Amino acid sequence: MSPLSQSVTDASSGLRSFSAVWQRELQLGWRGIGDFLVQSVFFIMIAMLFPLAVGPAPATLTELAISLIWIAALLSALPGFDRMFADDFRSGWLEQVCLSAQPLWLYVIAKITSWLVLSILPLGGVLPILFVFFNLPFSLFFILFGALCLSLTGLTCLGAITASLTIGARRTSLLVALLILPLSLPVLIFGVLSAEAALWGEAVAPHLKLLGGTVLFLGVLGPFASAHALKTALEER
Amino acid sequence: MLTPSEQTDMFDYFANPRRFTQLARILMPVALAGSLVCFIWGLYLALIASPADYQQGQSVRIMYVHVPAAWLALSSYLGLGLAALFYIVWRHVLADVAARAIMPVGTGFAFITLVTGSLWGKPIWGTYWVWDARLTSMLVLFLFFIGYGALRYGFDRPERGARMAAILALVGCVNLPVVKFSVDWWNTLHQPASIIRSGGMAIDSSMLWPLFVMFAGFQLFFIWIVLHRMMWMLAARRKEVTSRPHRAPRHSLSEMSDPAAGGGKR
Repeated sequence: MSPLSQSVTDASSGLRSFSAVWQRELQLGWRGIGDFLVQSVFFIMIAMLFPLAVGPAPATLTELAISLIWIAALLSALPGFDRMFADDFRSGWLEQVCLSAQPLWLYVIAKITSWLVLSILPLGGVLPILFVFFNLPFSLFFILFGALCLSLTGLTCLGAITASLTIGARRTSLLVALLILPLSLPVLIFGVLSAEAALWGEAVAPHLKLLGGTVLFLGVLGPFASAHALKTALEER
Repeated sequence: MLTPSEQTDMFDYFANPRRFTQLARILMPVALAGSLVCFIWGLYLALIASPADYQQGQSVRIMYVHVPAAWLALSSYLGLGLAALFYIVWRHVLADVAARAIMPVGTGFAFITLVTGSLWGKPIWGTYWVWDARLTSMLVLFLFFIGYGALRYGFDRPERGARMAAILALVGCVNLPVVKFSVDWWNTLHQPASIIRSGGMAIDSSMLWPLFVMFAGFQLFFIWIVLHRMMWMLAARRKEVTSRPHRAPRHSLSEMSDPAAGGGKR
C-alpha cells in the first residue's frame, strides 16, 4: 500500500471514529437535555435580575441590554462545565478512549462541538424573550445570536480545559468558575463590542474578526491542553 | 553557542538538587545583602535625594515602589510559565519546587502593584480605581495567580495538583497576552483619553537613578526569597523521604496529621 493511500485510509477511519464518538456524545447529551434546558432558564433568570436591580427605565435597559445578555450567558454556562468529563472519567470510558488508536484531542473536539450544539440551541430558543424584555430590535437577532454563539464557542473551549484540569479536585464547580473568568475576558469584550456596534449602527466587522480570531486560537489551544490534562488525570489516578 | 548535548549537560548539572543547594547557599547571602544595600540606598535616593515632580508633587515617590513591583509581578508570571514548561517536559522536581516558591511571591507583588497604584491614583486621578487597561490587566494577573494557587492546592494528592497547575500555567502563559490585548482594545474604544496620564513623558535622570536602584533591590529580594522558599521546600521533602522507610504502617495516622509531610498521602 502506498503511503498516500495509507494516509487516506487513516484519515477516513479517523473521520469514521470521530463521527461515531460525536454521535455518542450527542445521544448522551440529548438524554441529559434537561440540564441544558435548565441552563437556559437560568440564563433568563440572571437577565431578569438586572432590571430589578438597575430599575425599570426602558432607555437604560436597552443601553445595558447587550452587556446583560453576555454576562447572563457567561454565568449560566459556568455551572455546567464541571460535568463535561466527569461521567466519562468515572465510568472508565475515558481510559478506553486513551487506549484506543484515536487521539485524545479528537475525542475532546467531539465533546466540545456536541456540547456547543446542545447548549446553544436552547439558548437561541429563549433569546427572543430577552429581545422583548429589553426592547431590542428583532432585525438584530441573527447578528447578535451569531456573536453570542462565537463567544460561547470560545468559552466552551476554556470550559473543556478547566473541566479536565479540575477532574478529581475538591469543590470542582467553584474552581472551574475561578479559573475560567479571568481567561474569558477576550470573548466577553469582543462579543459585547461586536453586538453593540450592530446595535448602534457602527462597523461590526473589526470586532467580529477579532472575536473570530480569539475563538480560533482557543479552538486550537483547547483540545490539546484539555487532552494533555485528561491524560495526566488518568496517569495520576 | 552550546550544542544541544552541552545544553542538556548544563541543565542536568544545575537540576541536581544537591548542586542547586550548594549554589543557593552561596547566592542567598549575596542576594540578601545586595537587596538590603540597594533598598537603603534606593529609599534614600527616592525619598530624600530626588526632586518632587512638577505635576504630581510628592506622590511621584510611590512610583519607586510601584514600578519595580509591577515588573516583578510580570517576571514571576514568566518564571512560573518557564518552570511549568520544564516540569511538563522533563518532569523535574526542582522546576515544580520553583513554581511553588514563585507563586505566592508573584501574587504578593501583583497585590503591592494594585495597592500602590490605587494609592497613587487618589491624589492624581481623584479616585482610587479607574478601569484603565493597565490596572485591569494587572488585576487579571492577580486573579490568575490566585486561581493557580487554588488549583495547585485543590487536590488531595499534591503531585496531581502540581501537574495540573503546570498545565494551567502554560495555558495562562499563552492566553494572558490575548487577555491583555483585548483589555487594551476595550479601553481604547470605551475610554478616550479623559485622564491625564504620566506615562508619555520622559523621566529625568534624577528620578531614573533611584528607580534603577530600587529595581535592583526588588530583583535581588525576589531572588533571595524564591531561593529561600525553594531550600525550605527541598529540606521538607528530604525529611519526608528519609523518614519514609522507618515508618511502620500503624504510624500513618500521625503522618497524616503532620502538615510538613505533605498530607501523608502518596
